[in-house]
Amino acid sequence: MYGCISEGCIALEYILYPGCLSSTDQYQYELSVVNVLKSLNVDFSYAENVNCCGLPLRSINSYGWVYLSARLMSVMESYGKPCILLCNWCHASLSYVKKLLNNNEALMSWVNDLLAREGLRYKGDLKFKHIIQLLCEDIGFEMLRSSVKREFKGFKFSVHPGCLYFRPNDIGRPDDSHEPRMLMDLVKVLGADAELCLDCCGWAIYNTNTSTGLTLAGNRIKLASKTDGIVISCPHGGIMMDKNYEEACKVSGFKGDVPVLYYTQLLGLAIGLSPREVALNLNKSPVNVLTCKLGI
Amino acid sequence: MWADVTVLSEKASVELVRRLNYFPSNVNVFACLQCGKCTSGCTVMVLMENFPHKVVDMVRLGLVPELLKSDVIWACTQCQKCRDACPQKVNPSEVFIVLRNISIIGGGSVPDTYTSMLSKVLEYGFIQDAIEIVGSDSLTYDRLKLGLSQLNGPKDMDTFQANCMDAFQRGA
Ligand code: SF4
Ligand code: SF4
Repeated sequence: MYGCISEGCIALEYILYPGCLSSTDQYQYELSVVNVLKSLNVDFSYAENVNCCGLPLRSINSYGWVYLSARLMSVMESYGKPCILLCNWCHASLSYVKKLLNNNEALMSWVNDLLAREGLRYKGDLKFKHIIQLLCEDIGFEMLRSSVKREFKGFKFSVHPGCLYFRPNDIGRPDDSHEPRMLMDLVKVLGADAELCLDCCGWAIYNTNTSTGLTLAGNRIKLASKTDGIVISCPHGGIMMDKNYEEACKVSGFKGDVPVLYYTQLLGLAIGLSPREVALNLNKSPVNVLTCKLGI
Repeated sequence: MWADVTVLSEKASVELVRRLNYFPSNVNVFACLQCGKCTSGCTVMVLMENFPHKVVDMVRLGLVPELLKSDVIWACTQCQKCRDACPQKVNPSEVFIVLRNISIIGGGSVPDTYTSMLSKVLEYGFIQDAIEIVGSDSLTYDRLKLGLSQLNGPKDMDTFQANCMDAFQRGA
């Protein structure tokens, strides 16, 4: 099983890096994370002097990507604290670049020469965790279970961990590449039933082919039509399935109400936060269906 | 016929060493069995007629210039399913990335969204500036109104930009 609070990890203080999309667009993710962490008494502060991990720009030039991820890690290393990430892409990017740099001295010295111009140096000892990993491993299920004030008994959610949380296996991912279970377990601990979906939300192709991206998102939403909603934990899924809800449903010919929300929003509601405190008013999918069912 | 393939393969090897391996990305097209597992699970196979095993085979045959002329190199959503499914660790998803990189280094056009994201990174450090969101209550929200701290982009923006320019032009 995962680690838990009794192993003492929670005494740590963390630094938070929300990433581009959560901090410029998907505010409901960042805000719900902040309020959930506060409620669970987790100490954290924001990392400063940070930048995009570069993964979205990898298609342009892989060296640009390596520089951006290495810079981000070198800045966060200087805090000497473990880092919390909210985005699957950030987490995959840092994991991948860390592995590349560890195995390639020429790449390492190239990137450190660039970083030196800013007085930075990449050492390679940053510890970072995705918020989902942190909830499973550092906070633990016992603590979560005991914090639940509003159970989701009788609800069934379609769980969407998102591609890069569990793929590709060879760069080292937090969860099993064929049967990721962290997000499933986190939903179940709130009393709800959960079914797993490993599909892609289509964000990356949306950049070059809008209709294909929306079709992928719409088809994914359709798959959840018999559930109480889709639970996500990556802002790319949030953009595609929540922000683009209407368009995605239209493109794929789906008519129906499927709330799409972040796990931290669901968790927040479960531990007694108000819909406002998890910023449900910023979601574009019909989350009111869910709050009506809950009577809040 | 066999002779042609050999010639193509030799050409491909030279081309591959020079181009595909310009970046350490674990691409191993010569190990491909053409089993089609990558294609059978590909997220966009049906929607975009993307057949990753064919792309891998074309690279192996030295048909990189043909691929660079085609839109197929952008028809991949980087879901990494093929990478995990491949029994030979060929890494098809990475082949797409390397082809895109090579295309752009060679002067090929950059899709608009990518140009825009790069310019925002150069300006703010992030792929977009913080936007305003209209909530379901019809009110407009930004970070300040939500009680979130301001964005903490790079402090020494000039050096950051210069470094980005260097890094993003490497290989050109
Ligand atoms: S799965 Fe791997 S070995 Fe099979 S066709 Fe695709 S790239 Fe080749
Ligand atoms: S990474 Fe690209 S080529 Fe591979 S399965 Fe996904 S969409 Fe298809």
